[in-house]
Amino acid sequence: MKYVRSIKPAVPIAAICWLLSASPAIAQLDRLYPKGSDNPVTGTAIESSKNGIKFKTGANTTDYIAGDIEKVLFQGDPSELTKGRQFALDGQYQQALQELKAIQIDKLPREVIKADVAFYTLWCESKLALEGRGDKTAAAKAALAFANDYKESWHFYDVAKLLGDLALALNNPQQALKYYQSLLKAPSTETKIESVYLVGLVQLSQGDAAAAQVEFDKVIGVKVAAKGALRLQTLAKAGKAVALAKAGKGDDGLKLVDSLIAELNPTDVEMAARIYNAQGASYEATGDREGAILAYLHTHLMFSSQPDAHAEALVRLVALWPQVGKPERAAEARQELQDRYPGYGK
Amino acid sequence: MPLYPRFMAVGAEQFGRGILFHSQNPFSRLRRHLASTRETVSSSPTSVIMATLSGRQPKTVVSFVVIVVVSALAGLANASAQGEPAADFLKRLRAAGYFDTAVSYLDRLNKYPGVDPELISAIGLEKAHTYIEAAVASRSAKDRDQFFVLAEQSLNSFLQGGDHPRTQEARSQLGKLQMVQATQYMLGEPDDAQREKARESYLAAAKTFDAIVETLKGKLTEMRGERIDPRKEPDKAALRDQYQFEYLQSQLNAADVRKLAAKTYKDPGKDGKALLEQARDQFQNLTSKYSRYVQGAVALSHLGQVYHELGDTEKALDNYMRMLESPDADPLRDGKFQSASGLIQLRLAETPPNYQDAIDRCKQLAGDIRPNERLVPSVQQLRLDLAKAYLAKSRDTEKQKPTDIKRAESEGRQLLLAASKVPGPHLSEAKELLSGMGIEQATADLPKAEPPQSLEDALDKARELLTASENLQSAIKELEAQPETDELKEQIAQMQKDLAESQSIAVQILRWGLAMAGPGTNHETLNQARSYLAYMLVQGKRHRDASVVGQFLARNAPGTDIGLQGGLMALNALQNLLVEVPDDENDGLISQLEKLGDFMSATWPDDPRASAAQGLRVRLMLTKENWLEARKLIDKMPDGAEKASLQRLLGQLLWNHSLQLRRDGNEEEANKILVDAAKDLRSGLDGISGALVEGEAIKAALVLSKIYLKQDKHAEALAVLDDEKYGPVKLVDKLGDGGSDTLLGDLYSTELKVLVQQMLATDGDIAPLLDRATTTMESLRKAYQGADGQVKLTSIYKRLAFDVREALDSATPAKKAKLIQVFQVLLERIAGATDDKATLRWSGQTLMDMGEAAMPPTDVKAQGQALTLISAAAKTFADLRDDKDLTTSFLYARANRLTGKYKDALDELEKILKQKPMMLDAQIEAAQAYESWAAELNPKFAPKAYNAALSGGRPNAKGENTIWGWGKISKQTNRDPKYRDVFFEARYHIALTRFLMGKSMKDDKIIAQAARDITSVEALFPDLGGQKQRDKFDLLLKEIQKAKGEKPVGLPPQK
Repeated sequence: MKYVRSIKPAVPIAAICWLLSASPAIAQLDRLYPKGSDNPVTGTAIESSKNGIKFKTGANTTDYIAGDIEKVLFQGDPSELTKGRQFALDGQYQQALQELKAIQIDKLPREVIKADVAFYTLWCESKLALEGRGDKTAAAKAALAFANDYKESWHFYDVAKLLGDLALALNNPQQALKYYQSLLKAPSTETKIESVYLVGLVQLSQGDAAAAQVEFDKVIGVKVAAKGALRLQTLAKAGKAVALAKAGKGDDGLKLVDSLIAELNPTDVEMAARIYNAQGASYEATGDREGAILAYLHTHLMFSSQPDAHAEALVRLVALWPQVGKPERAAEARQELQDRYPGYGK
Repeated sequence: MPLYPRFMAVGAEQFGRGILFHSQNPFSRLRRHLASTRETVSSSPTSVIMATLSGRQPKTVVSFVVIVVVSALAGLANASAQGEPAADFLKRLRAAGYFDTAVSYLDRLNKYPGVDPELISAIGLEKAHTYIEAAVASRSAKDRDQFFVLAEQSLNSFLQGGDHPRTQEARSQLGKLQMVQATQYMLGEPDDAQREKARESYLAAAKTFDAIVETLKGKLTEMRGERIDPRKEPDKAALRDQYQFEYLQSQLNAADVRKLAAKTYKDPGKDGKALLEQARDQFQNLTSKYSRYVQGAVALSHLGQVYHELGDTEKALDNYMRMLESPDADPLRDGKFQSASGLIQLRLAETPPNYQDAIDRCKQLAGDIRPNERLVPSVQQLRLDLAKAYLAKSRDTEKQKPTDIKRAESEGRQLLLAASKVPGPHLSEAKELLSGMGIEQATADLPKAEPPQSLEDALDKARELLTASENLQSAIKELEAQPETDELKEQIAQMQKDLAESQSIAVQILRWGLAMAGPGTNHETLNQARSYLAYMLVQGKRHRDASVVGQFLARNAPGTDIGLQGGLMALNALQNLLVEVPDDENDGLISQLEKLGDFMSATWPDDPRASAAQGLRVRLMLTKENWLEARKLIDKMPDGAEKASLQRLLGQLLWNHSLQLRRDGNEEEANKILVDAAKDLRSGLDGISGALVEGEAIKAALVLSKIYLKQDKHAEALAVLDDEKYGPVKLVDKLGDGGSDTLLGDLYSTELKVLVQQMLATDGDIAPLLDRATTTMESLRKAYQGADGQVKLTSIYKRLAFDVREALDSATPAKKAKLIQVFQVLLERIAGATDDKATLRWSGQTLMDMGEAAMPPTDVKAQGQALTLISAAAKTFADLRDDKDLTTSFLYARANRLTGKYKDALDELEKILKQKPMMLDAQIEAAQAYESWAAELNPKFAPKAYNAALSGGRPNAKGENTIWGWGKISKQTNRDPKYRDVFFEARYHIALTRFLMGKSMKDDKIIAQAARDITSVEALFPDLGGQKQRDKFDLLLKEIQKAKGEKPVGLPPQK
C-alpha cells in the first residue's frame, strides 16, 4: 500500500506503501515512540510495511520493526486521534472510541492517519468484545477487513494476534492457532516468542496440557535478555503451572507459582493476575479449595484491571464459593461477572 | 511490612478525633477509627498541624519529614516488592467484608513466599483488627460480641508474646476495645446493672491507657538522655515522635474514659464527681502543658464538658469558647462541633434563653460543614442544638420582628431537615421538632399505593383520586365554616389526613405510570399524566417538586394549552416558595422564575396568562422597591391587560413612596417621583381595554387624580375623576360592593378638594361647581357613617377648612371677597342640606375662620363681611351646641364675643368652665370678653368689667371665680414652659387692661401701675416672650408713658 500525501487520495487504499515527496517544502514532522521510551524520534515516516516503518531523520533513514514501536504521531493527526490513540493504549476503550468515532475519515489528509484511525477503532472494539462488552464476531470481521485493506500496515501483526484472541474467544481454536502461528513471520523476536506462548495457551484451553507444556517450555528455554522476552518467559511459567495443574501435578504447579510470587512485581497487573490464577488452578488441583479461593481473590481484589484474567477468576470463584459454604459470595461474584463482562464465555 | 505502619501514630491522632464521639454510636466511632488507622501519612500529623497552629516550626517536623520519606520509600519498596503482597491483600479482604477469609489467610500466611516477617510476627494483632472490623460490620449483636471477645483474646495473646514494635498500638487498641464494650452497655436505656458493667469497662480502659502512659513516660525519659540527632538517627527520632504522640493520646484517652465512666451514673455531677474531677485534672494538665499539640487543644472541649457536668457553667462556657476560638485545623473540628453544642445548651438553659448569643457564636461553624463532615454525629448534634436556638428565637414574638421570626423558623427547619437525613440517636428528636413545625417526615406512615398496570391505568386512578381529593377539599371548607367544636376539629383533621393520603397516592401512582412510558407512548397521555402530577404536587404543597414537573411540562409541550397549564402551575409553586424562603436566599428561585417568565412570554406570546410569570417578577421587584428594574421588565412586556395592570401598580406604589419621601422631608425627590408615577398611571389606565374596569383601576385613577391635584393640575385631576372609561366618580357605583367606605371617603374628599381648587382657580361661573360640591359633600357624609365616620368626616372637613383658610390668607382682597362669597354660599348650602354635626361644625368653623380672616389684625370685634360670617357661624354653633360638646360651645362663645355679644359669650364660657375649669382657651376667651366688653361699656360700669378681666368673675357657690381673669391665667402659666406664650400674652393684657381701666377711671396711679406691670415683667424676663411680643409690650409702654405725660421711650434696649 502506498500512501500519498495528496489533496485527493486517488491512490487505492490497498496500495503497498506511501510515498512522500522528497521536497523539503512538504516534508513531514512525524514522531515515532519506540517501545519503552518516552523520547520520540522526530522525522518523516516514509514507508510502512507489516514489518515496520522506514523513518527518515535528517539525512539518515532507520528501519523500525513493528514489535519495537509503541506508537507514531503523524503530522496532520486530528486531535481526536491523538486523544483516542492514547486512550486506546491506556486501555480506556470506551473513551477512545468516543474520540475516534468523531473523526471524519474522508477528510483526513494522509492515508497513514486513516489507517491509524481504522486500526485503533478496531483495536478498541475488539478489546471490548473480548471483555464481553461487544460483538466478537463483528470485531473479528472488522479485524479481517483491516488485515485485507492494510496489508502493509505496521499494525499487521497486532491485528493478527487480535484475530487469534477473538477466534479463541469464539471457541474456534484452530483458527486461533492459525493466526497466532502467523506471528512467527513477524520480524521481532519477541513476537515470535509470543507466538509460541499463545499457541501454548490455545492448547491449554483445549485441555491438551502436555502439548501446552511443550510450547511453554520452548518459551522458558529460550535464552533471552530483553525485558519483553523475559516477561513472556514468566508468563509461560504461569502457563506451565496451569498445565501442570491440569495434568494433576498441583504441587509442582504450586512450587513453580511460588517461585514466580517470590519475584512478583505487583505493578505488572497482567502478569500478577495470571500468576495468581495459576496458583488458583494449582490449589484446585491439590484439593485446597481455601487456597484456591484466596488465589483467585488476589486477582479479583487486586488485579481486576486485566479483564480476561479477572473474568476467569470470577468464573472460578462462582464455582468455588459454594463448596466452602458461601453461596452468597458466589452470587456476588456471578453478579460482578455479569455486570462487567456480560458476554464473557458466550 | 506491617499492615498498620509504625508511624500509625498519625492514624492514632485521627483516632483522637474519633474517640471524642463518646455520646454517639460507638460503632460509628469505631468505624471512623478504623478508617483513620488505615490512612497513610498523607493525613495531617500532629507535628505539622501544631506547626501550623503555633506559626512556628516544631522540633518534630524534621522527624516527621524523615518519617514521611522513610515510609514513602517503604511504600515504594512495597509497590515493586517481590513476594506476596500480604498487607495489601489483607486490607482488601477486610474492605470486601471477607473477614473470615482474612483470618484464614492470616492463619496460612507462613505458606506464602516473601511475606514481611514483621507482619508475620504481628498476626495476632492483625487478627484483632480483623475481628474488630468484623464486629463493626456485624448486624447481629451476638456476633458482634463474639467478635469483640475474639479481638480481645487476640490482643491479649499478642501482648503476652513479649516486646514488639507494635506493642503500644496493641495496648491502645485494647483500651479502645474496652471503651467500645462500655459504650455498648450504655446503648438505649441501660438499667443499673448495665451501667455498672459499662463503668467497669471504662475504668478497665482507663487502667490500660494509664499503663501506656507510664510505659511511654519511661521510654521518653530514657530517650531524652540519649540526645537523639534526627539527622544522624532518623529512625530513633521517628520512634521518639511516635512515643510522644502516643503518650499524649493515651493521656487524653485516659481522661476521656474517666469522664465517660462518670456519665454512667444517673447523676454524674453528684455520684460521678470524683471521676469527673480526676478527668478534669488530666484534661487541665493537657491544656496547660501541651496546648501546642492537638491533644492539648482538643482537651479544651472535654474540659468544657466536664465542667458542664459538674455544674460550673462559667468555666464550661469559658472552655467551650476557647475551643471555638482555636484555629480552624482539621483535627480540632470535632472538638469545635461538640463545644458549640455544649455552648448552645448552656445558653438556652439561661432564663430567658440567650438564643442570640448561641446563634451568633455557632452559626458560622454550622454553615461551614465540609462534605466529609456531613455524616459526623457531632455535626448532627450541633445542627439539632442550633435548630433549637433558632426555634427559641422564632417563639420570641415580643422581641422579634415577623421577618426575623420567619427567617429563624426557616433556619431551624433547614438544620433539622439536614440532621434528619443522617441516621443516629439524634434522629427521633429532630423528627419530633420538625413535626412540631408542621413538617411530617414520616412519609412511611402514608399508605403505599399499588403500582398501576400502565400509564393509562395510572391516569385513570389519578383522575379518581383527583375527584376524591377535590370532594374532600370542598367538604373541609364547608366544615371549617361551621362553629368550631372538638368533634368537628377531629372530623376536619381526619379529612385532612385522608386528603394528604389521596394526594400522596396519586403522586406515587403517577410517578410509577410515567416510569412505564416507552418510545411508543402517546405523547398527549404522557403530558396529561405530567399535568395531573404537577397539579397534585401543588395541592400537596410540595412546591419544589411541583415547580420541576410544571416547568418540564411547559418546556416539553410548548405552544399547547397543557404546556401553558404546566408553566402556570410551576409559577404558582415558585410563588409559594418565594413566600417561604427568606428574601436574601431566594436568588435561585428568582433565576428560575426569570427563565420561566422568558420562556412563557416567548412561547405563548398572545396569551395573557403567560405574562403572569413576568408579572410575578415585576411584583418581586416592586416588593424590593426596585422601581427601575420593574419598569424595564414592564416595558419589555407585550401590550395587554397584564402590562397595563402592572403599570398602574407601579404608579400607585410610586405615589406611596413619594408620600414617604415627603414625610421624610425630601420634597424635591417626592415631586420628581410623582412625574413618573403619573406617566405610569396614565399608561396603565389608557391600556385598559374593554368596558369592564376593576376596582384596582378605579383606585389607580383616584391616585392619578391626587397626583394631578398635588401638581396643581386641577382640570386634569377633575378630568381623570370624570373619565368615562375609568373615572372613579363615574364608575364607583358599579363596583361590586359599591366600594368600601375608605375608598368612597377618599374619593369624595379628593373630589371635594379638586372642586374647591377649581373654584379657586376659575374666573368663570362657579355655580355648577358649587352644586357639585354640595352633592359631593352629601356623598362624603354617606360614606362615613357611625362614630368613627364622624371622626373621619370631621378630620376631612377640618383639613379642607384649613386649606380654605390658607387660601384666604394669601388671597388678594378681591379674591378674598370672592372666596368668602363662594364659601358662604357653599357653607349655607351645606348647613341647609345636612343634619350631620361634623359637617355643620366644619361649616361653622369655616365661616368663623373666614370671618376672622376678614377682620383687620387690630380689631377685636367683627364688622362688615366679617360680622356677617361670624354671625352665621354663631348661628350654626347655637344649633349644634350641647352640654357634652364643649368645643362647639367654645366656638359659639367665641363667635359671640367677636360679634360683640359679650354677655352671651360669658354665659356660655361660664358653663364650659364650670365643667372644665382648666380649659385655658376658654379662660382666655372669657378674660378677653370682659376686656372687650369693658371698652364698650359706659365708663361708669367699665372699671368693674376691667377688674373682672384682670381678676376674674362669676363666682361659684364657694365664692371662687369661675372665670380667672388675666391675673390668674398668668399665674397658672408662669412656670410651665409649654404655656410660655400664654403667660406673656396674659401679662400683656394685665398691663393693657390696667392701662385702659386707669384711663377710663382717669386714675394716674392705675396707669402708673400698668407701666410697672410691664417693667417688672421685663426685669424678670427681658425678652418678654420673643421679639414680636416685646414689640407689643414696648408699644403699650410708650402709650402708657404718653398718657402719663412722659417721653414715650418704651422699654430699655434688651441686653
